[in-house]
Amino acid sequence: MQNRKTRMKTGTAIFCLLLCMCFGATASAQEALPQAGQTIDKSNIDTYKHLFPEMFLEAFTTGWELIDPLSITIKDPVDNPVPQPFLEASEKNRGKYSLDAEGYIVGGEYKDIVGFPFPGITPDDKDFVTKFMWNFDYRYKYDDMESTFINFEKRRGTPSTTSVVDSWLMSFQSRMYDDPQPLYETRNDIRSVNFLRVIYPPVQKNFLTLMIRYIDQKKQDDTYIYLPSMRRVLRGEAGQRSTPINSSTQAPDDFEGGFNGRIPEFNYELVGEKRLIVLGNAQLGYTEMKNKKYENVPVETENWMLKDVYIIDIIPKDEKYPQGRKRIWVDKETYWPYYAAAWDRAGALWKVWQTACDVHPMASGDTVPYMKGMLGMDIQLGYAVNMFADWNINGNSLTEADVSVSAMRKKAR
Amino acid sequence: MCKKGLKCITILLAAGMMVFLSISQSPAFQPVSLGDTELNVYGFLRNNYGYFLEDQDYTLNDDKLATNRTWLRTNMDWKMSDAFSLFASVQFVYEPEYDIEEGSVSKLDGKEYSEYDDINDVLREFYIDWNPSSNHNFRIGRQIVIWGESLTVKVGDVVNPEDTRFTFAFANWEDTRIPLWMVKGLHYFDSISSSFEWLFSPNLVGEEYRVNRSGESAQPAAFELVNQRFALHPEDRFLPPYAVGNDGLHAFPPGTVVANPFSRGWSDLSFLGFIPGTGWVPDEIPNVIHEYPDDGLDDARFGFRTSTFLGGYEFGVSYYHTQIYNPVVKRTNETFPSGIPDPSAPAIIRNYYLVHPDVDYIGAYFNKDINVGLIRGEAVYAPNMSYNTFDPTDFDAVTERDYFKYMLAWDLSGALYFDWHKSAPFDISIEHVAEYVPDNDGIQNAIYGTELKKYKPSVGARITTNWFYNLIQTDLIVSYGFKGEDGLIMPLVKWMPAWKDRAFSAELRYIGLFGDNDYEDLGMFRQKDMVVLTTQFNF
Repeated sequence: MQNRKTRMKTGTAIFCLLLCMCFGATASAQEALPQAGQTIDKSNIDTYKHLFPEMFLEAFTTGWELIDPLSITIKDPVDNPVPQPFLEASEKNRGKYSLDAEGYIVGGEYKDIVGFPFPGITPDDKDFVTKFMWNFDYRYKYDDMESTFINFEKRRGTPSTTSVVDSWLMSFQSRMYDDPQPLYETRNDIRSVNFLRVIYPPVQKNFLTLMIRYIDQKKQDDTYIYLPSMRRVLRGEAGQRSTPINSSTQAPDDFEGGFNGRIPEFNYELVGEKRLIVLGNAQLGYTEMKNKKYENVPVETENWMLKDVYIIDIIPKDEKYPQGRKRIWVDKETYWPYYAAAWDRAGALWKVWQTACDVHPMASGDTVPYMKGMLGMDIQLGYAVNMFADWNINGNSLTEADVSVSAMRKKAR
Repeated sequence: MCKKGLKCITILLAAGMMVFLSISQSPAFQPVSLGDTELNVYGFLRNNYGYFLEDQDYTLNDDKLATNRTWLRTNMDWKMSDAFSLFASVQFVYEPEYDIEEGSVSKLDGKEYSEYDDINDVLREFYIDWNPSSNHNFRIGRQIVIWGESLTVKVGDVVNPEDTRFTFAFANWEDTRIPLWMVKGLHYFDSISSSFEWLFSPNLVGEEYRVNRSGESAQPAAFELVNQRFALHPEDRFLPPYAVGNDGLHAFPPGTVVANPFSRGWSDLSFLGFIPGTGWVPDEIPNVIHEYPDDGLDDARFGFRTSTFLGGYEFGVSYYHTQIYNPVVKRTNETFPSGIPDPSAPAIIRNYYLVHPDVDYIGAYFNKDINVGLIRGEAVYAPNMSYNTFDPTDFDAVTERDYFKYMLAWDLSGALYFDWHKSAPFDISIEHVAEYVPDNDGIQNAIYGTELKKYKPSVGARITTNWFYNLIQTDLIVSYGFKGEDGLIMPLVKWMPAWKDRAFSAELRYIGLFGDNDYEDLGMFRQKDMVVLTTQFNF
């Protein structure tokens, strides 16, 4: 009897041990993390698929026949801190602002917002996701910036093509390094301007786009375009923010890593938190890519690393908006999205984006988190674009006149 | 046979150029670094090939070739420094001789429309930009200036004259503008979010290039019986059986009658009233001399435009002093020069001139993004504008009346998405345009004896979208004039493949016109229905 009890105890113990080993092995497989120097490609993507958005996994297998199947190399994570002056300014906002019923910031004048309006928020805040998105919207990008970028584009079944764009960007609010700071006051209370000029291919040469966002969160954006074929500066309308610009899968609302919409025009849901493999220290820009030719759209394969993200769903309030839902995977610290995906109004996956983030040096010698490029794919129509940029952040001495409609007329050809 | 061979050679030449360019490594010239400066060279090779769909009146044959125009344009953009840049645009054009114009006033061997030996044609633009600061810009040289808000008609867009001899609604509007030599300043004032643009043009282009150039219509009275192919329908209502006159007194073909009232002399043959076609008949028809605006300061053109952003509106005013670009007939009383004895001549005779009197355009415009779409508007007022109406009761016979024109538009862009075409919206633009002549008494419609309407409204619309990320673009343009019950329907499809970085495009366009009669509005062109294929290689 004793022996029987002993055998039962022993059996139970062995069973429990096996069970534990089994669970442990499973857990270990779920949490498999790549080491620095390791390559992830289609041969081992199944092992690491939990470290990527599900809709991005095809990048490692077929590449949607738009990019070569990915084979990426992992490196140790690099720090990419938000500039200290910006964080210090953000601290002054702690507890100062809240949200009204429509999701607008209340508690002060819009033009007085400097830094993150909601520093230190955590998911247990009842309005966490909306406040997080306002922080996302107000994240530090630049005081001013000049850049040139090259787009590689491909329509499935055709060779890739290229386009080159010059851009001038200016922030008039939360300026940290260049005078005047922190606010560059303008008569129309402009918050930021994005001014683009196509310089290649010849068919689009000198096509100009000017996008203006205002400090007043309730004021619609303004858009102007210059069409060389008409020699005319035309005013666009707010609705065009959801229309892809030339040579891109991205509409203005998809800029800046995947989402650049006006915050109150969307609802937000926190889907979860996750550790992902991301392109966090991209090195390939316009200089490295400008003379390259590729059959498929190229993607940087080095400098991928692990980062912690929030996963947020973005649902447009306007039922006519072409995207029914968007999801972004946003760095918890820098507020830069590493991935984004959009579904159409019927609920079918439509577009997938992957952002090449960068630890970008500024003229001051500090660094700022910024994007080096952005891969976008319309997987329904079979069209992809990847952008590789060289940015000169700050110290460009841009003025309002440099990014005005008047400047469009000066640059018009 | 020879002409047809020439057409073939043209097409082959264009095709050969495209092939030559296509086999090069890159379709575009790389920017050239010149020290610290950069030179960009780019342009296009283009061919318009079109056919009329109807027989054309006032032609000697049934040929229907509407256009075969091959363009080569090269632009050079040289950024010399942050403050200075130079832009030049050089253009060569070849067009064959058109059978359909045989017998017209057109120059032979295609020289009417080809552009290769006249600096006014070949050197299209040439200017220097000087930016002493980011708020100030001066542009000096031959250039194009476009004002206004309307996209379908010209309201405040009055600076450059246009050359429409070679096109009918298939060429880019920009390409019909005749660049002018001028000095232009653009100044931006941050504190008021406004800009001020001014220009001064002393008419330094060739005299024919100072005004509009359009196809000449047939002169059914006696001379050219053949239209240039894009000319408006001639005024032929004084041909028999509508005419009065006397065939027997003039060396004109039987059955034709000289147009009144340009005659210097008249004969009263009413005593022969029993003979048809008698009464007061013209018996001395003068030549008409075209007087172009002078160069220099006398006929210099100048003006300004402001632009302000405030409260979501962009708005401004404009003023431009120039000359009427379409000629009007002026009558003068002149004596013979002294020393030329001509006892049989009257002491005073009348001469007739096509002239371009001064005109002042005073304009205003605005645009605003509203919740649903965008609204645009502009208006122009020209006090005492001269009309192409011959008033024999007036000393110089030039008729002057106040003139208004306005445009209101609504654009809906980026809103009309459909699940079956979600990569791009259908964009809609609707423009309402109207002309208003408070006192239209006796004002003729263009060259016709038809009275100009006091108020002439019309509406135009454009629906456009692109497919597969700009692989294909489709447009539908329609317009309708309420008074003349006339209009235009113009669908087009444009294909731009990825080949050579989208260097090549092909566009097929149908141009359909309708109208109640040949003497009003678009009815003047109602025989011009055509299809046009435009192929273009950009480099």
